[in-house]
Amino acid sequence: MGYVAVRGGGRAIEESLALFELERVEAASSPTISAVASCFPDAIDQVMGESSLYAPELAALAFKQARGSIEEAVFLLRAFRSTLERTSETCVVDMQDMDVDRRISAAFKDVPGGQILGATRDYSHRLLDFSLADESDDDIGQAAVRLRAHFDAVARDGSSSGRLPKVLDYLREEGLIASCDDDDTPPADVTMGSLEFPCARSARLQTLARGMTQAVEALGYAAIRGYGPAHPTVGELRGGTVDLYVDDSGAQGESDPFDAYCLGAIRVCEVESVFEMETETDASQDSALSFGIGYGLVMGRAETKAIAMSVRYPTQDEEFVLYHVDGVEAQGFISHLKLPHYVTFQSKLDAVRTAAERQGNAAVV
Amino acid sequence: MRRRERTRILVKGDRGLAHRIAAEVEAAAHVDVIDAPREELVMVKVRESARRSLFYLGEALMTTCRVEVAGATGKGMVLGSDRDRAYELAVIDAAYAAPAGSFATQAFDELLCDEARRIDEAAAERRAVIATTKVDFSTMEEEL
Repeated sequence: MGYVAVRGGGRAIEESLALFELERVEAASSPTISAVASCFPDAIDQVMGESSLYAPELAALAFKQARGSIEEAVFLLRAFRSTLERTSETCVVDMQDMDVDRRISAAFKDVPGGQILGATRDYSHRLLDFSLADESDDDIGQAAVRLRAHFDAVARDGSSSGRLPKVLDYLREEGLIASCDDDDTPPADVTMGSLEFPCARSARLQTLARGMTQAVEALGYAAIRGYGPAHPTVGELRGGTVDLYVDDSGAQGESDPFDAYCLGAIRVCEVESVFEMETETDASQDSALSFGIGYGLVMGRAETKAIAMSVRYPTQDEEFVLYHVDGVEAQGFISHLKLPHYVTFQSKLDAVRTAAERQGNAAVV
Repeated sequence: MRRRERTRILVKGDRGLAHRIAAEVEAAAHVDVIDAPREELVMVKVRESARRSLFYLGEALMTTCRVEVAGATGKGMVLGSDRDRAYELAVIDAAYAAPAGSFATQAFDELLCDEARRIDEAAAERRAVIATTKVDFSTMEEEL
């Protein structure tokens, strides 16, 4: 059955948009983009991660325009992204070079460089703070001065180098995790073509990294609860910034890393999870117990998403997982259900009425 | 100073420094804008540490610009939407690409080294604060 065009909603749509805008502008105030960015950094991180576009100011603008709807903000940012030309890719970013400001391990108590909590709400009481209800800009300023003075006065008997060794290198040195050489196979790019299954590891990681946060978390949770192969242990969770460099030598000849352009830094969160797994030994066909690693890497501070990404999903469900975690595709498809389906529903209605009439006639006979 | 270190200092340091150096170059030579500053995308390629393979984390917004100064071409690239800075970076890049002696690059290097020290000091201060959140484990048995 084909689609039938209808008309007549033009004015109603215009008035609907005007009414929607009226709801927004009747609010008491309009926050600046910098205020949105500073008040809702986690939401901005989520928007950037799911949009697969690192652009904090634009993400804040999208979040404001979307009235706080993450899915709408992601839609807006993805749409904007499609208007820009991609002219280059960065030099390979190695997470060993991350300037780490938070690093914890659930596998080892004592790790080289120590467990660094950084700035986190993990150990806070989840109680509503009613003092925030009346907080003013002056209050924030005074609190900033007080906390800065606190950190100036607090005992600084340690230091953090920023560059920290990977926790799981300890298991690699013991041979309990396979050490791998650099694999320079060009990665797939899911933005340039459709997913094909079984898909490349690079496509799987890219799809999960740009996946809907709560969808990735829900599927990760399901995999751990009983629909997946194992319960992971977070070997290392690290957050911080990585510098981006672009080698612009192009066709001019050999690239020289010292001639690369530094673009600035982006914030990322990386997780390596450890799983027990059985492997066949070389000496015999007996299986031996060893460790496998699940990997998660996301933009921003989306730690729970990074952990969920590192969960090993059942291979047979790869298509189910990867096809359904994209926010724009899921939101778009679900939202289309509220668009007019007059003809298709009329067809269903006719079928049900006809069946009801036949049943009625049969009962009379 | 090589481009990698120079651009790192210019994009991470005080933005007034790029403005100041670019102004000195502009005062000494005419600047032809080849490609006006514009926003573009750069794909972030990362190496994951589990199997050491490559994948694309996502894209980042950047602003680029290309200029010609004293016969040398320079390019400016910076994250985000910042057309002024992309232009200034391009002007400085061209000055360093120009024949030796065209511009006071040694004096620029000194300014950049000073700024690098300030960046390092700020980073050290930030890391000292972060280090206060390092966990000092002790087991219950040892305390008892």
